[in-house]
Amino acid sequence: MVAILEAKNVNKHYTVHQNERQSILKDINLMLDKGEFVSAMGPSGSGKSTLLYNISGMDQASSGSVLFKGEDITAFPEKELASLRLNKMGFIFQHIHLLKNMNMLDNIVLSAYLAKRSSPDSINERAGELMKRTGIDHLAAHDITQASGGQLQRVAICRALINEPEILFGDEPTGALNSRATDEIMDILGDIHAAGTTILLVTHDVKVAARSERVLFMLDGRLVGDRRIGKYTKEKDDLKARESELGGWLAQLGF
Amino acid sequence: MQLHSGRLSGEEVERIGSWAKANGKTASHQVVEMVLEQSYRIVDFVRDAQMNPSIIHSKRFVVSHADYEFLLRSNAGEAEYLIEFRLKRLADAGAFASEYQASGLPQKGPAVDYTLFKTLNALTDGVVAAVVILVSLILNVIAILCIRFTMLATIEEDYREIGVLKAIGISHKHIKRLYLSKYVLLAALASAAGYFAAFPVNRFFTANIMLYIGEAPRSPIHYALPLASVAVIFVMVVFFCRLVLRRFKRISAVEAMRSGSMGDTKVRANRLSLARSRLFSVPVFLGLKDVFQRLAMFRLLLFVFVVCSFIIIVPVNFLNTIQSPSFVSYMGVGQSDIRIDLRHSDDLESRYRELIEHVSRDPDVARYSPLVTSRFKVLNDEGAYDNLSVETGDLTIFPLDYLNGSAPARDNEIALSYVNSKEMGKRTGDTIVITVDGRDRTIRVSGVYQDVTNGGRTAKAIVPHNKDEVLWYVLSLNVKNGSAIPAKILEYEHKFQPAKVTDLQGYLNQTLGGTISQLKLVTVLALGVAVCVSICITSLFLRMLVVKDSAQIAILRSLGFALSRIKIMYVTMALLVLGVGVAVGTILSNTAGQLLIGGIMSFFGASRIVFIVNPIYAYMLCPVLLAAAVAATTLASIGSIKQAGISKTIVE
Repeated sequence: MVAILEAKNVNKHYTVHQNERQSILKDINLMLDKGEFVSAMGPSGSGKSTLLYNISGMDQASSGSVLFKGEDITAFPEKELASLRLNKMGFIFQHIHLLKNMNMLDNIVLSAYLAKRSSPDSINERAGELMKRTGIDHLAAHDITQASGGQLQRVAICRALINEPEILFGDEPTGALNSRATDEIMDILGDIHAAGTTILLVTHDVKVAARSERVLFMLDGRLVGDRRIGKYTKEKDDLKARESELGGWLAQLGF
Repeated sequence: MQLHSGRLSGEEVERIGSWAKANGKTASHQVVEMVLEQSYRIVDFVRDAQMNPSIIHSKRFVVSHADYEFLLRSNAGEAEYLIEFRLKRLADAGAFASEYQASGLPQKGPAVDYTLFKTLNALTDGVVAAVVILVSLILNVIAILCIRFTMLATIEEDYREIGVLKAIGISHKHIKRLYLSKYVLLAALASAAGYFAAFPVNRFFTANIMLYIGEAPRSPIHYALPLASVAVIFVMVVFFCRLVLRRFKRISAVEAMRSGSMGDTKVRANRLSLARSRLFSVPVFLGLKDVFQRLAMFRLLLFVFVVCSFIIIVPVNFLNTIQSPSFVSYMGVGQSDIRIDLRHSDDLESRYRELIEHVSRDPDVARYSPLVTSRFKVLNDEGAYDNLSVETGDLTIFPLDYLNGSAPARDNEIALSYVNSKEMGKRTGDTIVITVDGRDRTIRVSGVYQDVTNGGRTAKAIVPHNKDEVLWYVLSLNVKNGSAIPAKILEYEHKFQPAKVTDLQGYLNQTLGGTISQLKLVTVLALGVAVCVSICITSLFLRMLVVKDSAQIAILRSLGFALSRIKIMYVTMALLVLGVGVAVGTILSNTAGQLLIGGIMSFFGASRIVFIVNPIYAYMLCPVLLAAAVAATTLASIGSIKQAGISKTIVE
């Protein structure tokens, strides 16, 4: 397999008071292969979201290096990092974070219009296809105040996919949704992964993590567990078996 | 009060002196006009309320008694007596003038009084003072807006903390007091600093007035009046702060802690769609869209830009107008190439005839108009006679623009200056009774024109001039195409010395030079103030906006917007608001600003000023200067977005 993202001795600390340092990530070494579906789990404050933001170039690691397709992005200037996020990466957040003053369609097409990789008409066409695929095509002209949480998260997924990213990052993408909406979103992410996109999710939810192929476990800023659980077959029994396998493993790790 | 000038015999001077003495008044004289070439060293400046105002184009000098005697002996000029009366009560001036006129004493030359001195000086310094007061008032309004911006920005930053304070049971009154005490202290310190700084700065603005008019005697008012003004401003500021802080009452503790932002900006419905837009780049589109959707928030910035454009463009336009050759039409003078003034001399009449004769034969002259200003008696409402300076001759050769009506066409018509028309209560179509050749004649007012010279009190008619009461002769002429005006001026100056020969621009420079240079200073000052205010408010506003928009900025950055593109978005917002502000400001300057200047100038005799706009200055340089200042300030003010971590804002 070819590594798409690699973290080497990544540390992150914040200066809390004048000279007091608080370490959030400690010597993280991690490699994600192209096309993998990975979940990062851990208790609150374990550093899993910080890991996601540091290896995606959204935040700057205090030390260590992060390689995206072999290139060290910690040395990238702000403009190149922005370009990387625009063209190669997609993000989904727990609180969705759509732009309030734009309708659903505009929120989706925004980064594609900025990237200018294709004509406005083909961007609109692709947005239409994505919305259809995620079942929100009837909401294109609606304001974001006129949709449910699940629908908004689908808009966020469409927005993340509009520039056909090579890797999709999700920070608790189902954290604010009910179980039905969670299942629907995970089905969509499963389809995206099946189409070849690498995915790294941060989650508390074992049910969500059970849909991925590989689960990382973090504790007190360290990566203490890494388990491959194979491809999810979409069978109901398969999901239950995976959940139980994961549950046992996490219990061993003290979660 | 000066009631007299002109040549008097020794006996006449004696008679006036005895008359004044008998009436308990003191009288003094005299001055001389000269033609002899003589060098003098300037040793000092003499304050001269009568002739120093730049609008008066006669000037006089003080020489030593020995030099004066020498000049008289050399027959360099003729002695001209100027009798000045100092009255105990200024209110008696009118009665005194009538008494003098009835006394049968010599009455040659123009009579001027204190009111006229005041008006003449006001035209030079009053215009400048009016502009300074106008700019100061506008600055006060802007300063109050500044306070609002600052307070809203502070409340925005402290919003979560305010929520916490409310949540732990501190009443909004206490929180309000906490903030208010801070602003009261700042306002008090700033007021005190402003009050004391005003004394040295005051000298800078009043230097010209003190030089020409003199320093007012020190009195408690000198300190009390500024103190009262400062107190009014202080009270206004505190009152305004209380008004802004009333919003604490509306803040919900839970909402403040949850959202951390006031979020009270109304966002309008989505009308502009990115998916349908093809005209602008994404950052520019977002900037435009944001302004349209948050109009309520941007209107304050818009107001400041409108005001700033106004305080730049009005003085610039007024300066350009006053410098323009066509400003002469406000001075009761038709537009001609050259103007030749002849004033009091022994052989004035013959010199004038000689001049007309010469001009009529001059092949370089295309057309000319000889005009004589002499004094006539006019019957007032109370049945008494007043003096009226009337310019007579063919007034159609170099016509004036009339406020209403037209130039007198027949000998039973008269045109009045705006000030005279107002003071006499006569409009176009009304009649007045004037004494011509010893007989009272009823003539019709044919029109009213603007005139800022001679205190604005002039008239024009085509009746024969009053030979006994000639004030001055003027001959205006246009040279034929190709004739050099400067050479012609030199020729006439040489031939008709001591006639004053000026071209139109020279006449304007000599009469309005002082006002123009003062106005230039005020214009530069207004420009500086407007640019500083724009920078200050833009900076405050943008800093507040960036705090308010931190979540949106983080989202955009997470989507791949580089900082440079986000900056373009904010610069677009600022420039759009500025563009609209400058456009509105320009329209207002040319409408309301023109009316405002017209209102001020109507005190001096010109009620309908039409701005002569220099489009390069008014529509290009000023807006570009403001735009550059605003764009640079915007970029500097939003620099903080770099420091705000994307992940931190996103997670929060």
